[in-house]
Amino acid sequence: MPKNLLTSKFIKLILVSTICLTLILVNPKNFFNPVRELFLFTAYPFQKTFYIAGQMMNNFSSVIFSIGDYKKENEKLIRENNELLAKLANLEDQKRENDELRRQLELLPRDKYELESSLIIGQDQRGSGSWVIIDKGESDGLKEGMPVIVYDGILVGKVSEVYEKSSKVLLLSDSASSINVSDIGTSARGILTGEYGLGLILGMVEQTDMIKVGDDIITSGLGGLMPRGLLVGNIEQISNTSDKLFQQAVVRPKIKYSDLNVVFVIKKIK
Amino acid sequence: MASKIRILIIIFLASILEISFFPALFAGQIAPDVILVFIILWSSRKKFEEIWLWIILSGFILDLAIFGKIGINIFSLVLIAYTASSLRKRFFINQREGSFFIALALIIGGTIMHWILVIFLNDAWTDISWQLLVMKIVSNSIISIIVYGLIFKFKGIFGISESKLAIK
Repeated sequence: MPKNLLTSKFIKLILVSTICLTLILVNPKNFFNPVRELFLFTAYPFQKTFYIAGQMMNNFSSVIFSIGDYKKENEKLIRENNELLAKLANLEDQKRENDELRRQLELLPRDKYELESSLIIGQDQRGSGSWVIIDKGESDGLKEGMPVIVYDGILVGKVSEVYEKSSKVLLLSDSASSINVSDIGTSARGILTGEYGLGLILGMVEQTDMIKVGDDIITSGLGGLMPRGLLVGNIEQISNTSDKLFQQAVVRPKIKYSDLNVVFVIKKIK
Repeated sequence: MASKIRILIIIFLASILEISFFPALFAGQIAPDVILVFIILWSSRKKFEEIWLWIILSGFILDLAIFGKIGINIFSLVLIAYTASSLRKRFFINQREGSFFIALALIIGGTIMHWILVIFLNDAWTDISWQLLVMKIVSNSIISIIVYGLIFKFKGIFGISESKLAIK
């Protein structure tokens, strides 16, 4: 080895690299938990303040950038309002039909859950929408595996790590996420996994099961703490796996995960 | 001592900006690596041996903040800082007028290196998105203008002096 490589600088690099790679391989998660708890406890008020400040600035800039469009938007809204009034009567009838379908499909209404509302205080900084940090933790009764929803019972992910005052929520779009789901119309079952860049992927659907574009996908209630009937998204595209054994589909989420502000953790089913 | 506390606060706040402020500001689409940019710019002006403990601390705080495996960001930041610091003597001497553009090149290289290392160490090859990498490079480059300015405005805190640019 050349002599100039054996400098204190190089030795430090080798030393730190060796320790880090050992830590990554061994991954002694629990060993660092007290330190992480302390950090999260200290960071919590700052995270909350900075996150809210960031959102306010985002909202403000959105308003600034959209001022020019307001006039056109207003005219459009007036037109749409008239159209909507006409459609309202029609929708009333569809609502009754929808309620009946909901009953038949045994969708769980929101009042059957014990919910914990949480504010998002951090997000995946890689921008890949894999996880968020929420401001509720063990002290609020949260546990790993609890489903996380937004209004109307739309599933967005599940709690993956819990600390005293905050928790990490793994979003459905993360590649490590895996949920048992079924097609609301045909009851075809499958496994929904996150696939970055392609949205959500519904896989392991047997060839004998029927799925079609536009069908809504809900949780099947199999496995873990996930209840049945939480809406996930709708089928956008269907294909076969390369071995032709199963069908798979691209599922479009019902909401944009990057726009989340407040979420609800299902602590238990009443 | 006061200087060390200030640096600690700066690193802490940089991690909060990275995890909470920027993802909220840009609705999760872009989140510049504030700490990475800060470390690259700092290490391009200081000897690695003088700031290596701060780099470890920065990586550790980032690993804690993102609920990741401890060691990933430490390793990546240390390696990048080592590279930036090694290039310091080669490029920054007698190049003071164009130093920002050299720093910018280091930011771009460091961003790519950090991106690949974090994906490799997290075993997250399925999460690769070249579009995100390009956005990351752009956002890191933009944020580096601010960080560069701040480092030089408060260079006393970071122990940077013009004389340190000269080879002894």
